[in-house]
Amino acid sequence: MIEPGGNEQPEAPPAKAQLALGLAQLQRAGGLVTPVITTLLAFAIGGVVVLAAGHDPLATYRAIFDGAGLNWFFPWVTGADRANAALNLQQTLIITTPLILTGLAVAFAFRCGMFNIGGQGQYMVGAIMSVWIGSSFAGMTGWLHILLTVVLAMLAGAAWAGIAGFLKATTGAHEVITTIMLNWIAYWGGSYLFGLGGPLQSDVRKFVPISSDVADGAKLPVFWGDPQLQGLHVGLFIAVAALVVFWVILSRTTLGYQVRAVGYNPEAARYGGISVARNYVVAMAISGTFAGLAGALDILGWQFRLSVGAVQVSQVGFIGIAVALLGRNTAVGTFFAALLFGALYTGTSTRSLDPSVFRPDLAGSLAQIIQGLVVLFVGADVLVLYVWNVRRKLRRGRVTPAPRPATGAGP
Amino acid sequence: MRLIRPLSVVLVLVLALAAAGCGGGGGDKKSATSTQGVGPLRVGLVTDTGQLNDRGFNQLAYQGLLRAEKILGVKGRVLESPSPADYVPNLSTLARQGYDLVVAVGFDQAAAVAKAAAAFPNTRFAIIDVSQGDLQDKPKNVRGLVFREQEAGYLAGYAAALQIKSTPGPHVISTVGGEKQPPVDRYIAGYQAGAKAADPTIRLLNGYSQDWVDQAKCKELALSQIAAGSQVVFAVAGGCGLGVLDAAKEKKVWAVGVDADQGYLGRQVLTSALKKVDQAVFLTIQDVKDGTFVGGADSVFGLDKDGVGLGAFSKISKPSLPRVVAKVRRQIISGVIKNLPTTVS
Amino acid sequence: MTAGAAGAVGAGLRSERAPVYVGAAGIVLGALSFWVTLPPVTARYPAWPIVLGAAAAAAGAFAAWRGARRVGISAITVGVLGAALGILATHSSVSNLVQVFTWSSLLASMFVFATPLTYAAIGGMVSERSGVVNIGLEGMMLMGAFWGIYGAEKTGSWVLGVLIGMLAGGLLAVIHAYFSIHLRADQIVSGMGMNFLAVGITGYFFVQLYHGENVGANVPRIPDLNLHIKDVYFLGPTFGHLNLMIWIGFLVVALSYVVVFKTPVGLRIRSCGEHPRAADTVGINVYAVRYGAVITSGLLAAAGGAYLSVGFVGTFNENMTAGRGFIALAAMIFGNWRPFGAFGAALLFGFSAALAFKMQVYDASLPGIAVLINILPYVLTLIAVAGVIGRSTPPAADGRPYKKQ
Repeated sequence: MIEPGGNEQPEAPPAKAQLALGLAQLQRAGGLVTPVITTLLAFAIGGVVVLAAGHDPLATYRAIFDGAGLNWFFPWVTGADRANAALNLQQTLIITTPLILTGLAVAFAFRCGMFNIGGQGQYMVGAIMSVWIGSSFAGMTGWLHILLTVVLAMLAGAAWAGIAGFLKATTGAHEVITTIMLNWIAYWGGSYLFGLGGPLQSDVRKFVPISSDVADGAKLPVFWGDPQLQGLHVGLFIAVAALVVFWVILSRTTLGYQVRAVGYNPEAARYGGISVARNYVVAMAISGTFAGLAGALDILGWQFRLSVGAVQVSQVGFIGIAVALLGRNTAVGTFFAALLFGALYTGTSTRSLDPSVFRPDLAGSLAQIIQGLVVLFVGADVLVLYVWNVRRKLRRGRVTPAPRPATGAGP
Repeated sequence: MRLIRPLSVVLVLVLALAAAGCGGGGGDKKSATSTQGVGPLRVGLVTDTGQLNDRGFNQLAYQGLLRAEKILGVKGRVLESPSPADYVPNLSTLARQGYDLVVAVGFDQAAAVAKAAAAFPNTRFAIIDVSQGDLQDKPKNVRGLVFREQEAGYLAGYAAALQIKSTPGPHVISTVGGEKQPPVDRYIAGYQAGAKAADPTIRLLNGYSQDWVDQAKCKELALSQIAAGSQVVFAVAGGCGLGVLDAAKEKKVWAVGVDADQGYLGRQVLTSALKKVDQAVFLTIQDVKDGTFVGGADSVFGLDKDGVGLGAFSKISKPSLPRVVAKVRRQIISGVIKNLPTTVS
Repeated sequence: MTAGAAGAVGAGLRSERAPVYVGAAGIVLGALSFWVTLPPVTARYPAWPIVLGAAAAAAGAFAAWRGARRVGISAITVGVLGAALGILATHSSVSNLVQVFTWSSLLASMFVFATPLTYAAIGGMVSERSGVVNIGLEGMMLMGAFWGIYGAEKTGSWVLGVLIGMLAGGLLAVIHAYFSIHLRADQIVSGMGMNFLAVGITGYFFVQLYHGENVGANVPRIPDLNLHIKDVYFLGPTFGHLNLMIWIGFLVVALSYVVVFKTPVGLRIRSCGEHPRAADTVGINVYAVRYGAVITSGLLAAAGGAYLSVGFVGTFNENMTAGRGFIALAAMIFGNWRPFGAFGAALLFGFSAALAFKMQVYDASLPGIAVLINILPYVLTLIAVAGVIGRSTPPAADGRPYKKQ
């Protein structure tokens, strides 16, 4: 299950420090073992926190697991419990869908060596565009309307991210700063658009700061659960398809090759004739496309409208950062990481978590602590690999080699 | 080959978790069917994204629920909604579990309530701050709980203008709203009208912090209004509004609290414009208990039903205020003062 | 005489540095074109901003033509923008302008908003000067805000409260330092982890310790420094009653400049940030210096957060810092990793935030303007980071883990 184009598992390296250094810095991609160990470690520490709070970690985690509906996969769960699990799992997957895409957005940019913190703004711009297009053209045929909305939302996201890419390419402006600024501009832009008297505020409900509803024809079909009660919509399949597209672009196209080359070493890429500036813009644009798609799927799948409050409270783009990091910027990793964070979200919700097991109002914070730990440990794959390598060396009876002077320039 | 070790560890862990999870189905209290009408009444409350500690409507509604638990003996449950994606699942979970009354807070949930009410026609719903007539398909099992905030605002504005009437110089009062929304604007419109009635020469300032939580923003806005001469600042911004009260304390001017009686926060709080969401929730629960709950209409809470009101006056306010304000209150209830404005120009 | 003067001007214009000075003059003229329409000058004829703006643009064009492209383009931009804003201002009523541009309260407001940014930006600067990127400023600020107010309430002293808050930020910084320096993890990732952790930890303990209630109403607060100059024109209302932490913030800026740029300690820090290998060879303990710098950044960012809670607002809400840490990061980059630059940038952000509140007075005539004005600081940053500052030059080894040989 190692993703092609990602990193292979390391051999027992003589210069293990050099390899780890390289892994930690240059590549930011690949591998499966590390994220799994990372997650377990984070959960273990989270368990210590739960213990310190006077609760049973295993019971808490089991409750979160059930609350996320993941117990639906066990055939021995039947009857009312199974029905409940189904409902929970639908909600988990509804949350997972945009997380996959915002995770892909961050991951794609990372592959080009850029840190796209702007997933939230790009998502929001896509969502705003979706609400606008989706609530206009009421008479349009269903699939055409959906197609139009989704395409325009993706373009909006691409443009929003493209601004940051363009600025980096032409002026060298750091994308961390520009994307953060663009996030806030989208936040306030949305607040303005849907506020009372704003241009996109509802024509029907004139006194609340909410947008018009998406036309019925533009709503995505629901394939599992009650369509009237926020069942699971086909957007999930579109998100999974996006995973495949992500993989194909990066590992099977020239563009992907160039993007990855720039990500490894911009100077070498430039020397090799690749236009670094162009790739910055293109990579950010593609990154924004994924995030904009997430916005479209959420609006057309279950949300159907945006209010100022919804704009301001949304965090999907930010969790996407944690998703991409945990998923090591690969397609498969992003899927499972998104599933994990989606499950953590639904599993810790007040309706799912039994208050006698763990206080629901604390559970949300617990989930965030685990999220933080996951992100932290992911960055420290050096630690994990070090432990991993030392153990293996001890097993094979090899002596840990003495450190050699650094060969070649550092990163 | 190298993967077998870690993968097997993971597999073992997952199986262990599953084994732990399969015993007894997790002891859940969330069985899908539940008997209605047997045992104590069950009432559920679904917050909006402001969640429980918003020091606003969610918290007040919760207090109403707690009071009903204590006095009426109902069993209450609160479901928080950190994101709009939680509205429909929360509402339908409660309905599915056969709750006798499901209360939703805020206009953001209006669409979700309409859907849940349509899917569960035998469950009673109530929604705060939304008129039942505004819901899609006007479901017959929903009752809207709406408030005449402008009446409370009127009294507060009248009191504020009276309090500063004898001070020298131009008289200025101001309001800090959270966001431009009907409940907020009703307060402000009433406040402005009441102040003008007491003192036609009074000057009115208004601003919105665009935030319900960040007290620094509300404090800044209040400070800038005070610098422009405001002598009484009315906070209509939920938790953020506490910053307004703090600004008034710092600059030694008056403040007016909102929604709940905020007089305990200091003597600078002249009074508070009360929106008795807790009372409304309590009364609705009582209706359900008494069998007099009627969906398909609104309960309008104004001064007459003690649904809105004015809090206690500050210890250092003018002693004549309570008497004068009580008179104005009677005039509003009896209709002598009518057609209070509900929108801010 | 005039021929001689013209000759001298001509010679001056042909010199090397002339275009830059002309461009700088253009920027000043552009700013002036807006400023003249505001109180206290309040020129009412649009001719004024137009003329000044045109002059600014001309100066900018000259500068750009002569090679000082960045300064020249900035001058043109500022000239056009200033003229446009100036014309807008002439259409507004004088009373509205006076209400918005009460400079003394505007500036006092500016300091209030800028101070948390200042502390965090200076902290970030120290850390990055030693070579460690610290994106976790937001998280450290948040820790300072929560634990500061908790400490103040529990100990009954604002001094202890602020110190406890700083300690909390420092502890978070230690974790970041360990992961970044010893484990050589990706520093941006580690910083993001800090932010997630801080939100989780403060949220958790806020509920656990306060049970959803508000922080008590009588928390000891950081006092204001009353200068008794209330009646001094302009300076009185602006500076007369600022919070103590704001003044300490000024000191921190000056101190950081002296320490980082004028002392041997600072030299060590900067060498670790520019060329750690060389510093190591000379005998500097790169790890220790970086640890110290990162912990300092945590202490300072947390102090900024503590000012927000213990000094300004008097309470805590979840996620109270609301992105200020990231704006501080922008201020640091905007200021080109120099203390006075970062301070200036923080003041700029503070000013636009203060202005945003004041602009509400126009909301009746232009609905929604109050919301849109909030975008101002972010757009300004974009323009600045992209245009005026251009390719920012961080310390050479910034963000690269160092391995001791």
